Amino acid sequence: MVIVEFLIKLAQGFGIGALALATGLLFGGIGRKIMARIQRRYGPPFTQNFIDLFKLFSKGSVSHGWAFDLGLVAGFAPMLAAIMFLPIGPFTLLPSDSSLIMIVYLMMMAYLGMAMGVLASGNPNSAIGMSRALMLMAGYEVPFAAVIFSVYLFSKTGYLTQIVAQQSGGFMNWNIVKMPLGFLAVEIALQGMLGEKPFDQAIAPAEIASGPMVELGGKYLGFGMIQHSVGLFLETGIVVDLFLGGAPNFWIFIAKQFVLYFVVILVDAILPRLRIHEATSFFWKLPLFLGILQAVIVIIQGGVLNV
Amino acid sequence: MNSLLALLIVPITGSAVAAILHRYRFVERLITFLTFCGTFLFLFGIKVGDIFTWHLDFLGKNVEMGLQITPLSIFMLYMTIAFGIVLTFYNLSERSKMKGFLLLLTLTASNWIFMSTDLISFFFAWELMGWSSILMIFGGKHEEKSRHGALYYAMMSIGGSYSMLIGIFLLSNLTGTFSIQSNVSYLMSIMSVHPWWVLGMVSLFFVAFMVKSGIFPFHTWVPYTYGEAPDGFVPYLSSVMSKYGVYGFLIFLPLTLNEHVPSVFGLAWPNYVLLWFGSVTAVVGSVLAFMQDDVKKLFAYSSFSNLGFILAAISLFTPIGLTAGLFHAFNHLLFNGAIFITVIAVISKVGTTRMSEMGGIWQKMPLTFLTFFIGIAAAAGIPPFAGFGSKWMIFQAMISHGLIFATVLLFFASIASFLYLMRAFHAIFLGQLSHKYDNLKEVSMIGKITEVFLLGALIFFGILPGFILDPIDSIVSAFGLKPLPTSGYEYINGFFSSINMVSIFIVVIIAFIFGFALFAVVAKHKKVPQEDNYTAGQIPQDWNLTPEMYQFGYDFYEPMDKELAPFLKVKIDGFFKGFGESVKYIGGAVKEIFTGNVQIYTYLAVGGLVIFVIAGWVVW
Repeated sequence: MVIVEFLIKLAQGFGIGALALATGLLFGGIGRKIMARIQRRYGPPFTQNFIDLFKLFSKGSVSHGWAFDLGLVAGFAPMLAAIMFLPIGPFTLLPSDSSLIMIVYLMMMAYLGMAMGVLASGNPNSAIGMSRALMLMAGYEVPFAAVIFSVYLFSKTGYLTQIVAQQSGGFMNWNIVKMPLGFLAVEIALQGMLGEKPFDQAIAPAEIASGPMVELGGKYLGFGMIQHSVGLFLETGIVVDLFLGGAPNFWIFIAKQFVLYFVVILVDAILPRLRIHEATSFFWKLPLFLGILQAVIVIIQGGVLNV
Repeated sequence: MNSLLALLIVPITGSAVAAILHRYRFVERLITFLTFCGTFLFLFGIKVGDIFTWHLDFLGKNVEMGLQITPLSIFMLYMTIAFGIVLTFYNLSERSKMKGFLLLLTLTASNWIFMSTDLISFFFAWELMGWSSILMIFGGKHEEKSRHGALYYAMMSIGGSYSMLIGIFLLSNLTGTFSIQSNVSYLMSIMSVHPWWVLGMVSLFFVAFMVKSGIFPFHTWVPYTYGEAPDGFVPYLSSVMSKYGVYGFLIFLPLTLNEHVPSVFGLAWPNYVLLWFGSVTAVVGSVLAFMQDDVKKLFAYSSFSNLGFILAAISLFTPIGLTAGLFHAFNHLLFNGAIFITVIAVISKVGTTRMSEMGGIWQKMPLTFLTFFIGIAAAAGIPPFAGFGSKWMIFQAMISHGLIFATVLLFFASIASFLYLMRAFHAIFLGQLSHKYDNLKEVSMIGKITEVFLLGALIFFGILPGFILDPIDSIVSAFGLKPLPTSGYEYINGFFSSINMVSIFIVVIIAFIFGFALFAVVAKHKKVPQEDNYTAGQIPQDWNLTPEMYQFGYDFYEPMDKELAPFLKVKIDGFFKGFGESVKYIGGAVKEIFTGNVQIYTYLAVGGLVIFVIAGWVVW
């Protein structure tokens, strides 16, 4: 019986993974289209990312050794694992372990793996890109954490599933209404998390030859791409679960995710790239202030638990 | 033989034998290792509640001295001795100038600290531990620098010890006994009447503990000392010796359970102050660490930064806080041990501690690389390795009190730790391999066994944390708190949620299998040498580019320095140096008096006589 249950979970897990990947790729494609229209170009078809991925996976490529291979896989696998704990619409594969901080740290493992892979290539451009990515992370994770903690105090639970359940019953119950400042902080942090302008210092195509991606080609670039796509799904999904009340079904969930991503693209289209130290310290100013303010408001409203 | 006494007698005998045979380096190391094993065997003979007492005539009093086993002490004993076995086993193949007999002396002291029931033997053991480790640090690679490091450590330790000694005598004068138990309960009983007085008394002790753990503002000795200590000793210094302070804090922290203590934010305010000391330590350590180029110094900063986490957690003194702190103490011992042992393995091979001169070593030392990788993953708090559970619990413990500023600071320290770990990872192991390391070899068989063992332990205690949480629960209940609910070896129960580590491990493993399968199915790849890089069309040889020049490891986070510059202007180190200078100045001024001129001596004698007469007249 246990084995059957396990196999069912396994199949569901594959399904969720495929869905997350497809959604992420689709978002990327639509994002490219929107960006093109803003810049008055025709733009590639919205299925372009699927075509690109197929092409990348079918082309031969060069490897820089086993640490390079391992790193790229380790950049993708934990992201995929983290998806399994995310409430997607009404469905969560493993609801009993959907602890928010655990998911955040699983994402960090993906960054660690990715960093190992690209740094093992030995290209200084990727090292510069990685150093920038890490510095940026020191920026956006801090306001994000402040908001996570305020949600913890507000909801009095650490399970994403329960956070979602508490927001059921209409728009006025969503955390975006109850914690608007926190949402604003997370929205800004999301811009940094997804590495879109003004926080695209790590990639910076014309400046450091695409940074971490410089040595990636063929399937390696493909792995980078699926990591980014799954990451996109995961990060927007977390924000939907935290603030937008989850969703009654999968399609509404995706629609909510897309709204978040749409805002990110619009901001990306109009802002130039900051310098890296400006970007990092920006996160320590306005978003962190908003996050802490939100937490203080929650605490004043009686969020402190008696222990 | 009494097992409690054996825990002292075995290591000190081993130490004597090792000292006699110290000319034969390998024999000395073997004796050290075997003594650690022997001491560990005697651990099985003891259980909680064992007691051994004797009497001593001290200052005209008949003082009862003793050894006793509490849940906390048995936890600490197991932890430290087991780590000592791993380290001494590794050291069988190490070539640094570590002296085994001093390490065994430290072990004696360490066992004694954890078992002593009275302040006299506690102090004596504390001093023995301090002095044997100071002597050990003298044997560093650079004679001049290691002397400086050792003296810095010695001065700070002496400062702490004096403070503790004053505390001991004040306290025993009041209570007439040296027993820790009765002194603590005495302090607890007068807490409601004289809270300030009690806190002043306790802070005399806390200075000593803070010095030993390297808690801000007494952290300044740590990088100097760790940076210059013999390679084989650094893991012990950072993994084990920093925990003595934690043990000390835990002796006195139950005081704040008294309900008469004034409180802020639902927390007794002494705890609140300690919590801030801990949080600031965590941040200071992390931020300073990511600007280091010397790998031993980097991990020295990292080490006390983690002690900041532990202090912040235990200072809450709630069930989850205490559990999280002790759990982190164990995890820190484990991952820091793994990191430091791999780091000294690399240092012994490449012969330098400067990270900017390393790079690309993963190609030559794959196992060391993997161990280090898992070590930093654990240190960064990544599931499912050891280190995740405790950090996760610490955050929950802190935030459940609504301590948002301290929690965000700690989270920042945690992210910053990710930064410096990645920096070390990149600069040591990844990037371009210099041609001077073409003949680099992987560590010896002994080293490999140690690394595999540590690797396994990091994963094992990551996915089955219950093996550590169970003993911690008994410690928590021994302190009179309600332990966290336990529900199997694979569960960590936090305040806001609980986690099944095995299920996370399985999910991650399946994800990895799927990743590798995908990797294998799609198009083929071919391996290229490291010179085969994208260079925007340039040919590196035309520009005389060497791998060293192509390695970006120096000043990895240079843009951050600009942002953090205002914080770095505050130099605690400078304060201690200034203090030292002024002591020297006063000493010099006093010395000026004694010029050898008889006339001045006469004036002094007359002046002294006058003061004596006046004082006598006033008193009588």
